[in-house]
Amino acid sequence: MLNYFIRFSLNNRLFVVAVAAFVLVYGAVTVTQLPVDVFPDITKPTVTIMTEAHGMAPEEVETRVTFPVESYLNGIPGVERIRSQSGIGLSAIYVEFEWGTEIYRNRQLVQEKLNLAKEKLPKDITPVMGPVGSLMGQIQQIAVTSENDEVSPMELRNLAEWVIRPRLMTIHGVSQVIGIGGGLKQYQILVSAEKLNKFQLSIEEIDHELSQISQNTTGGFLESNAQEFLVRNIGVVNGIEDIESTLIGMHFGKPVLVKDIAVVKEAPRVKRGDGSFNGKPSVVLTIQKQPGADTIKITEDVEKAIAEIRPSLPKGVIVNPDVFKQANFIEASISGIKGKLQLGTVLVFLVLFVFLANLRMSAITLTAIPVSFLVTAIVFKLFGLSVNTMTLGGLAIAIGELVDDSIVDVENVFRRLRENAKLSNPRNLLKVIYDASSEVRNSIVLATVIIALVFFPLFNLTGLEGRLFAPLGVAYLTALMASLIVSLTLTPVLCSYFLTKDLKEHHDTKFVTYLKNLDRRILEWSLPRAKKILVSAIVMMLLALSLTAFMGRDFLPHFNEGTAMISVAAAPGVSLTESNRIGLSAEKILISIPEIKSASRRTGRAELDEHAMGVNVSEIDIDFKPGGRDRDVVLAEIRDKLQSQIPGVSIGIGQPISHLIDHMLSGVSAALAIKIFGSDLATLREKSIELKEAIKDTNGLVDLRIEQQGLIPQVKIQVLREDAARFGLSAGEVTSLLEAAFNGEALTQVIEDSKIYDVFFQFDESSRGSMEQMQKTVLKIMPDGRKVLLEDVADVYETTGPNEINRENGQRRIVISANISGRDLGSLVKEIQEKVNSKVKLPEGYYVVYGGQFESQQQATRKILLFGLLSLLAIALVLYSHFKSKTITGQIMGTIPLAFMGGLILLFFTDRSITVASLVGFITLSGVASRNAIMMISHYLHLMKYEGETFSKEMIIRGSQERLVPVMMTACVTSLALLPLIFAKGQPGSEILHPVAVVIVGGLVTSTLLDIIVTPTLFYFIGRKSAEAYIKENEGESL
Amino acid sequence: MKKNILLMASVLLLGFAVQSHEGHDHNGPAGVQAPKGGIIKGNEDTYVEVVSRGKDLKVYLYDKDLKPVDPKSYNVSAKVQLPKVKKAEDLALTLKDNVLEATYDAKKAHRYTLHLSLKSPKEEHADTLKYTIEPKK
Repeated sequence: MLNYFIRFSLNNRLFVVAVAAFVLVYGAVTVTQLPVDVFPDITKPTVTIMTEAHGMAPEEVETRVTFPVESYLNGIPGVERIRSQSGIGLSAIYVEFEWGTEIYRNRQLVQEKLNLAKEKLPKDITPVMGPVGSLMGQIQQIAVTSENDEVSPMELRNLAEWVIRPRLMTIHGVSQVIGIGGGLKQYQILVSAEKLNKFQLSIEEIDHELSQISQNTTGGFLESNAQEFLVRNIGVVNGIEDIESTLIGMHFGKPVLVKDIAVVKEAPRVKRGDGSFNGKPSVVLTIQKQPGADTIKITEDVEKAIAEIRPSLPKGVIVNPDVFKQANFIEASISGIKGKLQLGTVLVFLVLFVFLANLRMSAITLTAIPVSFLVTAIVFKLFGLSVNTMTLGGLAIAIGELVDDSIVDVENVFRRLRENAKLSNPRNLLKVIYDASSEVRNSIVLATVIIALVFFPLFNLTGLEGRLFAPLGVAYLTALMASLIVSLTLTPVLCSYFLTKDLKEHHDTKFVTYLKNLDRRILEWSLPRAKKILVSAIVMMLLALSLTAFMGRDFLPHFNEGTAMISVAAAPGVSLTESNRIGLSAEKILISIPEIKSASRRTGRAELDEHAMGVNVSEIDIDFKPGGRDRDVVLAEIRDKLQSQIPGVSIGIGQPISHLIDHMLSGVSAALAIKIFGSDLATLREKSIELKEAIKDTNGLVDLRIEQQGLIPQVKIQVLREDAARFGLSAGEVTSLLEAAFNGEALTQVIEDSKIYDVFFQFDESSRGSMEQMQKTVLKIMPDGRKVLLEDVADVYETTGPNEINRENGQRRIVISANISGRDLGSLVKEIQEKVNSKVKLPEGYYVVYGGQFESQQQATRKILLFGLLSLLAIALVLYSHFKSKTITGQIMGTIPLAFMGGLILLFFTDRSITVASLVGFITLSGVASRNAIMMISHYLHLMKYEGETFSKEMIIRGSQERLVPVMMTACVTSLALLPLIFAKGQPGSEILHPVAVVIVGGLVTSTLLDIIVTPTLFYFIGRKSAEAYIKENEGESL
Repeated sequence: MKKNILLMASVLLLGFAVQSHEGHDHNGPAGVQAPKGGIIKGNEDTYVEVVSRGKDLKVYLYDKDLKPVDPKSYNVSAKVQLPKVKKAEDLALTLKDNVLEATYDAKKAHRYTLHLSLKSPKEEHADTLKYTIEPKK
C-alpha cells in the first residue's frame, strides 16, 4: 500500500504539487484562525455549587446545607472528589469529576441531585450551580479609580456595574465580569428601635407592612369606544420620597409613615469584600472567559470597549485595563517559542546545506518542515486544539525528525539517479525514483511506528500532566506522520522535478569527507574491541544513572508568569475594615519595592464570586517592571518586608496561574497541602498546630500556614422556647423577626434609568450597635400594651465559633499548606513525612494525607513508568516481528537506556531535578535513539541485500559512513532547534519545555556517539547470524 | 484621725490591688492560635486555654510564648454560672499530666460561664478569666 502512494504520486505529479500548494495556503490561513493560549485546556471538569444561607453560622451551614447536599452528590458516576467550604452564610461545594468526562453531562447529573437535595434544605434556600468555567478563565483585571473625591466609591461601583460591566459582558467569549470594591448602591430604610417603641409598633407589624411597600398589580381590561384598555394598578416606589411616604401603621388613629420611624437614604450595600489599586480605593473588575475562547482576542476587544466607554465617564474617573492581563504572559510565551521555532528552521537549512552542499537537495528536504507544520495546524483545527507553548514545543522537538524522513529518501533517490545516469542504457527516471523511494520506505515507516509507540505513555497520563503533555505528543506525532506522508508523496515528486537534471558526480564537502574519514578511523579501532566498548558503555550508563540519586523530584518546573499573587491572611474574626487596613498596608509596602509596577487588591469575597474567601483574607496581584533584580530576590524581599512590618498575619506568595493550578490539584493554593482528616474541629485545630510546629524548621519550606479555620467571636441569641411560648411566639417567629431587624431584608427594587437597586430594611446602627440594645428590641406588643423584649424570650451572649468548616469527600479536614523554595519537592516531602510520623500522634479516626503537586508528581511518575514499560514491550514486539531476530531487537532496545546517559548528565548540570517534563524528554529520546538504531541497522541490511555487500567489517564501515550524514544532521538539527530552549530556563512559556529540551539535547549527544561507535561495533560483534538469516528470509522482498 | 485615714487608705488600696483584675474579660489577642484548638484568653504573663468536650473541661496554662507552664506554680480556682442564675457554684479542678481537669454537667442548659481565677507566681493579684462554654456544641 505504501508503494501505491509513491507510485500514485509519481504518476500524478501535478496533482500532488497542487494538493501540497493547497495545504500550504489553507494551512497558512488556518494558523491565523487557531485560538492562542499559554497552555492547553487544563481545566479539571468541576461543578461548583453555591448556596446562600443568609445569617447562618458556619456550623449551621455545614449541617443544614452542605452536608445534605453532599450526601446527595455522593455516588454520582465519575466523581473523584467533593470539597466543601461552609462559611458565614455561604456554602460552596466543589464537585470534581474525572478528567475527560463531559462537563455538560456532569452538570446535568449534579442538577438532578440538587433537585432532590432541595427538599431536605431549609425553606427559601436554593443551591445554584456556578457557570461553566475554565482554570485559565480569569484573563484580565480592570481597575476603576477616581482622581478626586468628586466621584464617591459608590458612584464608581455604579459606573462599573451599570456602564462598564454590561458593555464587557457583550464581548464574544466573556462569560462573567465580577466587580469588587466601591459600594453597591441600595435604598436603605434604617428603622429606629426607639421610635418604634414611641409609636407602639412591633417588628412583626413593620415586617408585614414593608413587604407590600412596592407592588404593581393588574386591573384587567376596560372596553371603551371599541377599544381595549389595559388597567394597571401602580404602587411601585420610584425613589426616596415614595418610600418615606409609605404607611407603616397607625398610632392613636394617626398614620405612621416610614419617615416617622426610619431614615431612608441611598447607601452602599453591606460589604463582604473590597478592592483597591496601587493603594487607592477602587473597583476591581475581574473578567472571566468562556472555555476555549481566545484570550488575546478577548483582551483586545475589552481594551477597545474600554476606549469607547472612556469619553462617556465622569471627569476624573480612570479605567485602567492593564492591571493584570493573562494575554501578556501568552504573548510573551508564544512569541518566545515562535522565535525559537523560526531560528530552528533557519538553523536546519544551514545544517542541511553544510552537510549536503547541494541547494536542490536541501530545498527538497526542507519542504517537509512547512508542509508538516501546516498539516498539523489543519489537524488542530479539525480537533479543536489551540496553539500553545506545548503544541509549539512538540513541533520544535519534531523539526529534526521531520527532515530526517526526507533526507533518507532524497539521499537514496539522488544516489540511484546518479547510478542510473552512468548506465549505458538508463532506465526511466520516474521508475528509478519509485524504486529508490520504495527501498527505504520500510525503515522510515518502522521508525515512525516505533516513535508513535514511544509516545503511548504520554497519552495515558490522566491528570494535569496528561492535559499538558498530550497536545505536545499530538503535535509531535501529527507532524511526524505528515512528514512520513510527505516523504512518500511530495519528496519523490520534487526529486523528479529537481534532481533529474545535471546528475554529475556528487562529491562530499571537505567537512563531510573529514567526518567520514574520522568515522572510519574510529570504527577500525572499535570494531575489534566490541567487548571493551560494550563494558565501557554500560559502566558509563550506570554512572549516569547514579546521578539521579543527587537530583531532586518535582512535579512541574516553576512558571514565570511575570506577575505574582500575594495572599495576606489576618486572624479569622477580624472585621472587613481591619482586614482592609491590613491589606492596604501590605499594598503600600509592595508598591514601595522598585521592581513592582502595580498592585491590585481584593479583600474578602465579591458578590458573584465562586471563590468563597473570608473577609480576613486579601489577595494582591502584582505586576513587575521589566528588568531589575532577580525575581527570587524580589520575592524574598516581599516575604521579609510583609512578615516584619505586618505582624500576626500569614503570607503566601504565588503566581496567578500557578495558584489556580495548585487549587485545582489539591483544593489549596500552595505547592504542598498536608490534610488532617477527622471529626472534631478542636482536635483538628490542635493537631494542625502540632504538625506545623513539627515541620516548621524544615529546610526549603516557606509560606507555612494553617488553613484559616479558627474561632471567631459571635453573639448568639438563643431563643428560650418556653419563655417565648408564654408570649405566643414560636422560636421560628422570633428568629425570622430578628433576621429582618439585625441582618436586614431586601424588600423590593427601584428602577432608575434601567438600573435596578434594592430597597433594604434594617434596624439603624444605634438600635443594634450593642448587645444591650439588641436585648431591648421590642418583638411584639401584647394586647394589654405590654412590650415583649428580646431579653424576655432569649439569652443573648458572647461566645466563639468556627469561621469556616472545610470538608473533603464527606469528612471534615484542616490543611497545613506550604510552598517550596530552593529545594526539590520529593526530598522535602520525605523529610516532612518522617517528622510527622515521629512527632505527631493522631487520635483514633484521624489521619494525614499529603496532597498538592507532590501527589500529582507521584501519580504521574508511576503512570509514566508503568506505561513506559508497556510501550517498551510493544516496541520489542514490533521490532521482533519486523527483524525476526532477538539479537537485533535486543540491540535496538539496548540503545534506549544508553541514550539516556547524556540526558541525565546535562540535566544534572542544569536543573538537577527530575520533573514530569524531563520524563517526557526521556520518552522522546527513547524514540529518537531507537529510530537512529533502526535506520543504521536497516541500512546495513539494505547494503547486504541491494548493494551486494556481505557481512564484513568493510560493509559495517561503509554503512556507518553512509548513515553518518543523516545521523549527524538529525542530531544537529534537533539540537540546534532546541538549543534556544536550553538557554531559556525560567523564561515565560519555556518553563516546561526547557527540561524536555535539556534531556533531548543531552541524550542526542550520547545517542549520536552511540550510533557512530556502539551500534556498528555491537552489530559487527553479534549481528552476523541475524543479518544473514534476515537477508535469506526476505530474499526477493524489498526492505 | 490620721491613723484612721491611713488605715482606710491601706484597706482601699489592698482591696483595689486584690480586686483590680476581677471581672475583666481578657481576650486572647487576634492572631494567637490556641495550641489545643480551644478558647484562649490571657492576662499579663499567662495564656489560659479551655477545651470542652461534652461534660469534660481541660485547662492548659502557657507563658506568653505559648510554652506550657507548670499549673502547680499557679493558684487556680474555678466557678461555673448558668444563664439567668445569679449565683456561681464552685468547680473542683484536678491536676493530671500538667493539665487541670474538671467535669461539669450543665443538664439541659445551652451554655454556662466558666470563671477561672488565676494567680501567677509573678503577680500579687488574682485575675479572673471568663469563658462561655456550650456543652452541646
